[in-house]
Amino acid sequence: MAGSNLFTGTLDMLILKALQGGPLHGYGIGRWIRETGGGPLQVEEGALYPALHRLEEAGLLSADWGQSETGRQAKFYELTAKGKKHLAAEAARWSEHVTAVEAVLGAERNA
Amino acid sequence: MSRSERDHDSADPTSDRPRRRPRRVLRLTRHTADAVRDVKDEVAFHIDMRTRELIEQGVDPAAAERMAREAFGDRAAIENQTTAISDSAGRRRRRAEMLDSLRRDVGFALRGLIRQPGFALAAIATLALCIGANVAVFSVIDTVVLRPLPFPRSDRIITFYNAYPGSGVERSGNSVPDYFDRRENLTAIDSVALYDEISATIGEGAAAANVFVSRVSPEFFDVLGAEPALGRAFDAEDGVIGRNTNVVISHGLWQSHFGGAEDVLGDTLEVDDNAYTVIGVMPADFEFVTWNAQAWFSLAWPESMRNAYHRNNFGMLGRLKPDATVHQAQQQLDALNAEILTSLSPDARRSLEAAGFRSIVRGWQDDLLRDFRGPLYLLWASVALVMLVGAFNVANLLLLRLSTRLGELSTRFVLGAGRWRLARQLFTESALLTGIGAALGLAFAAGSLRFLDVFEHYQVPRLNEVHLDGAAIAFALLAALGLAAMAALMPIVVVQRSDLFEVFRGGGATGRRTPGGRLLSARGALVAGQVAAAFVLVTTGGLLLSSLINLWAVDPGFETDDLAAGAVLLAADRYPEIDDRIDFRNRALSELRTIPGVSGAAFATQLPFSGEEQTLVFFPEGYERGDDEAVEAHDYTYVSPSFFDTLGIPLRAGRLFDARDETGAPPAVIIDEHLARRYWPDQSPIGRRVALNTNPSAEEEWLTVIGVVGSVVQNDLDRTSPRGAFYLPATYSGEVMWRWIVRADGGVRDAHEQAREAFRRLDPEMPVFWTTTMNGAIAERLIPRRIPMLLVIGFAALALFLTTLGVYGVVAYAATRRTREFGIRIALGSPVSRIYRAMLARAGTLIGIGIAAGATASMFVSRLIAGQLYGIRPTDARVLGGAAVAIAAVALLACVAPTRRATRVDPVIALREE
Repeated sequence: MAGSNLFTGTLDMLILKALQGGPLHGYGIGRWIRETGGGPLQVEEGALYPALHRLEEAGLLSADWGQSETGRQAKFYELTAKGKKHLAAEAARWSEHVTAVEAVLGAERNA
Repeated sequence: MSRSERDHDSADPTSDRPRRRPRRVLRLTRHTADAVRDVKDEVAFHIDMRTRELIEQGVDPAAAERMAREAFGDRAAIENQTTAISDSAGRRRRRAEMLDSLRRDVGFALRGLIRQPGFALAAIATLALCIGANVAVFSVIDTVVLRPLPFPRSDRIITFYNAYPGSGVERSGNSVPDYFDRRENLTAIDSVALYDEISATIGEGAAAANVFVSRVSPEFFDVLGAEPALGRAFDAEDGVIGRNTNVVISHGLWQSHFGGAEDVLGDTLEVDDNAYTVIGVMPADFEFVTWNAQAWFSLAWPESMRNAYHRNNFGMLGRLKPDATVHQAQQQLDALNAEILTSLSPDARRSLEAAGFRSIVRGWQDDLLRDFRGPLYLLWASVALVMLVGAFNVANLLLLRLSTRLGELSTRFVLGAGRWRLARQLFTESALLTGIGAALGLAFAAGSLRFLDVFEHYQVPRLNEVHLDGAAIAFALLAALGLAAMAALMPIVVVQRSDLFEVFRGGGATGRRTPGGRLLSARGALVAGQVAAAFVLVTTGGLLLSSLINLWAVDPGFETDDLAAGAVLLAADRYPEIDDRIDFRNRALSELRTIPGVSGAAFATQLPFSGEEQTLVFFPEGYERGDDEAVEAHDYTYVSPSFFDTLGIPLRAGRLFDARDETGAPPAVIIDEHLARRYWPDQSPIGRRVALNTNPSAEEEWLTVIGVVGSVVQNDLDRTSPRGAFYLPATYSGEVMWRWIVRADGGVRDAHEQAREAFRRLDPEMPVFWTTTMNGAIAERLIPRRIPMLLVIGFAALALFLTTLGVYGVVAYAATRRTREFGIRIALGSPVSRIYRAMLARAGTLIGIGIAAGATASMFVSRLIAGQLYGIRPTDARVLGGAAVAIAAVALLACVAPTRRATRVDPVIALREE
């Protein structure tokens, strides 16, 4: 992902996570990632959209046009059942991964 | 973020969560919209929101937008990338959604049909009958008319015949000299072949089988472009007299008679007790179009035959050169005939000119179908009309159903299903009905095609090849689709034009601008259309039926009841001399006459209504023909003396044959009344002499007229001008195949068995063929008229029935709508008869319009059937009037029941109903 310092697949997971609380439009998802994750998870904002459409195509997200808070039509994304399952599995895997990485790094430091 | 924070978010007016749940109904419209625009909208929204956010954080508005764009990245690239994903995803989804909605539509339609099984059954039965009949007729027409003949470049194959229209012979065969002349002189053709279609006995004794065979000139197979699968076809050597002892056999005969032996070539085949050598076996799929011959023998002629012009005993085929046309061949043929004419004596030339003698060359397929196109196209038109009536009825049924469903449809409309969506639903229902109808119709067609066997003897080319194939199935599908569109059209129009909001609000069935009124007028138009189509069919059926009745009334010239007939073969090995055959016939006649109940027995070379037609030209001595008067060919038959008494043909003058004539000195002939009037109008023909060729050389070639008998119909009851016939003593003929006929007052069935036994008593190995009764033979001759007539009458009855249903439906609907009004009128003292009058007047108007339209259409159809009528004109007032009365009566009867129901409702109940 150009301009991103994220591991591949991480953006997808962040998007799914952002939607865990309910439907959001693309801008809202970007803002949530920005505000929740802070600096280290900075995303080039445009990169969200190919990812969103890809996830939609994969059936992890569903999308509908609806009225936004400003009264404008916006495209809202929502987790599908498949998306929810995927998120749970990925999150678990991520935790394992992080734990493993930390263990390795910790071992080096302590060597 | 915790759960509670999220909940807080949702309530926040500035949150990014949707204010309302996205509306499901918008899905269809947004999803089908252009993916590019969607992505652009989405991105623009993002940048706008980001700009706002930055401004809220205190950034200068101008700078804010720039910063928002920078934070977004390469907008164009991202849009492209996203659109690409969205596009392919959208396509997939749209397809899935289409399928899904189709599934839902079909499910919905199915449930609807199951809820009203009566409606569904009526519609499906109608459609199955209509589509089935159409598929069956289409299959026949496709195979028989539309497909090229099964030979290479079959469009190059031509056929010849001689015509003497001035003599009443529109069509004759070809003579041996024609073959030699045309072979040598027509440069437009590659090759020409002569053939005949006869039957022969294969094998020996009582086990002998009578099969169709053909005698052909050596080029026959070349002309067709067919080659044997085994061995060779004929070559020039086979056309030399004395060497024509070879035979080419069919695949079928190879299998049945030779057990499919590979070494069959060179084997001997016994045919009519002569031995032939097998030189070739044709492939399994080779079949001559008009004659399912099992063996082909080569024709060869003595030199004397090369001058026997106008003995037209053969069929002739030719193959055009690749760049030649039928027209060129015709021109060359005309030039050739003109040249031959100049070599004739002035008398002979004059008589041929008077006869309008011309040789015709035509495309073979075109010519083969000459008698079948008319009836087949008539059937096609009839069955298409039935389909039209059926479609009207299904449309009518759908409209009727629509009236009970408007509420449901308007609800769906108000809930956001577009008119297009509703139209699709209506079409799906209609297509479901026609689809089921088409499937059943195919089964029905497959079943009905088995009855084509009744036309077996009529040499309809390739009728035996007719079966349901891909073309028929495609036709059925197309028909189903077309019918679905037709039947759905009216309901769709009604829905499109109706104020569905009004219906939803409950204004439903009243008022002029509402669907109720539209429904009624649409259904009225359908009913009028049905009446028109039914009228055309009923008149057509009536005309054909009248023709057949007229034909049955034609006097065949003899007593057809109680006559049993058949054929025997006096095979040349056991009856080598003419005298042997005469002797057998004499003994057989005595034997046949001993059968109880048999009052007469005779032999002849052909019998009336046997399908045979042997004709010869006839030259009365000293008869001066006018300049424009033609030489005519007349039917001739060799008969035993008892022939006339047995058939009941009356003697008008002179005497019948007796022992004196058998020796043939002087040779005797009996003529029929037509010939007597034709050649000796004011005098007695008895004692006059006639010759059978233009310049008889010897005294014994003159025949003396000894008697005049009544005219007999030879084959076709519908022949408008008699051809004239003459009879010669059986003893003059060397023929081996003889027809026998007995008059059995005690019932003909038994006579056949007894006759067979009588022949076996004389010769245990005598093969007996073609047993039939005279009335059976006549009925069979009429099959080509009777079957199409029965089919058209069947179609007419079906159309009438469907029309009655249609009228009933529309009147019943109108009556239901007016029940309240009737209630008030009756309550106010209006007589019931006045209400009846009002209802019948309305239906009568529709029926009247329909009949008027049908009568107009009949004028166009009449041209199509004129050729198939006998003794009646297409505009016959009795038939047209009868059809109009019948349709009007049946249709008006259909109005009575619903009106009765509507007027018998208690006014109080009727009033309360609203």
